[in-house]
Amino acid sequence: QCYRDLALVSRDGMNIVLNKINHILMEKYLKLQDTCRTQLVWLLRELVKSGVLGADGVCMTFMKQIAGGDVTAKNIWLAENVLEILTEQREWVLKSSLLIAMAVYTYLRLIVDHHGTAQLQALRQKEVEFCISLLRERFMDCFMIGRDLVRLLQNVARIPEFEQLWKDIIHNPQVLSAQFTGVLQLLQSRTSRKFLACRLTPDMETKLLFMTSRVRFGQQKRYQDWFQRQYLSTPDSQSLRCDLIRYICGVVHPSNEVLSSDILPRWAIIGWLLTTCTSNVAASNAKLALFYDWLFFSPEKDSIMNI
Amino acid sequence: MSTETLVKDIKPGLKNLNLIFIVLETGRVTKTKDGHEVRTCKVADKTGSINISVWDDVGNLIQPGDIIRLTKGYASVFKGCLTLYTGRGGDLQKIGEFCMVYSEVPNFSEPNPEYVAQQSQGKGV
Repeated sequence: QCYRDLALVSRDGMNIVLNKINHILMEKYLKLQDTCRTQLVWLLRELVKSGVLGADGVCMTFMKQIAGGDVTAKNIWLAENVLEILTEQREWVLKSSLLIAMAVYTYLRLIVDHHGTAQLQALRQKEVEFCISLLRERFMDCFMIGRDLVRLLQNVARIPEFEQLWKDIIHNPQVLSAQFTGVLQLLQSRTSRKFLACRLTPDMETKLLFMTSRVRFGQQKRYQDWFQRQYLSTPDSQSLRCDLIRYICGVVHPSNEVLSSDILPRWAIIGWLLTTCTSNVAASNAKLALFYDWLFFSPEKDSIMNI
Repeated sequence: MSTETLVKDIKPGLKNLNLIFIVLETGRVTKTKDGHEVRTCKVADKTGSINISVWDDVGNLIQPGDIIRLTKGYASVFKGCLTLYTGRGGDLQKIGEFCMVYSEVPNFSEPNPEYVAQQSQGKGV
């Protein structure tokens, strides 16, 4: 009822509403109570169903709140609910190339975390079906992700549906799209910052950016401990390190002023992330994440700040 | 609105202190004779660090990394060390976390022979 009234009264295409929702999500999501979160998800579904322009942006903001390496109930709830909207409203999703790419990037990454319990297995299966269908139906939209798509696909390559997809990518790329010439084409394409950033929650970004811009080298220990205690203290959370490293390599490009100061350098943070990793698998993935842009560096297209 | 005090300017006997600090460490709880729980926390701003004693629930809620505004605090010497307290009518409010630079040195709560001397001479305020 309220929604209908809101829709009738709105004269700006719900722009104010959308901005407000994005703002709440980005600044306050962690503090929201469960009932509020449920309401917000409901509101998102209504916005999507009415085809409000900009609802795809809200969808992406929602996806950003799903934390990597976190299998607590609330986080899984969010992952499940957003996926449900995207699956239900598939026709709507297909209208936005960016949303397709972001959704695939998000859920391909999350699949890695979802294993172990029956509930997580079930979620994983839905995520697999979702990603595979978008990859096969709209490959060139997913291609937009660039080389990190290869990295993500590698991490899930043992899953049968992805194993099959890999065979096509390697041996029969044209099956996926006439314009796709093969894995090399994808590896030569730099991944935009917006994808690297989308897998960090606003709070993670705020804290990492603070560390790389305000904390002096030598003073970082406590901040590292606090960050670690909040986001990297469980075995499941080690997968987050890759996302953090990709973020630091690809998104955090300090100015010359900061580089020449005694502010905590990027290599020190990355060193911390690599040396405190408690899982061998996660550690080797993290090391690969570090070198990803270097392996395929091309002076015309890539930024030296990525390596 | 009163201006904020910096940690380096805290001296024994000062009252009505308003300051913003970040919590570095929270210590163990000890029980007082009248059944309250006291916790000592090490807090800091860009000018140095100091210990604050907090009672009961508040002590349990404070976490390292919290950025807190203290209003109407006071400082005095306890066992030769300068310590901060929340006064009557004052409180501690969490206003953020993580994003504050600080300096751990100097530690203004280190045992200070001057303060010990003042106390034993009865001049302690």
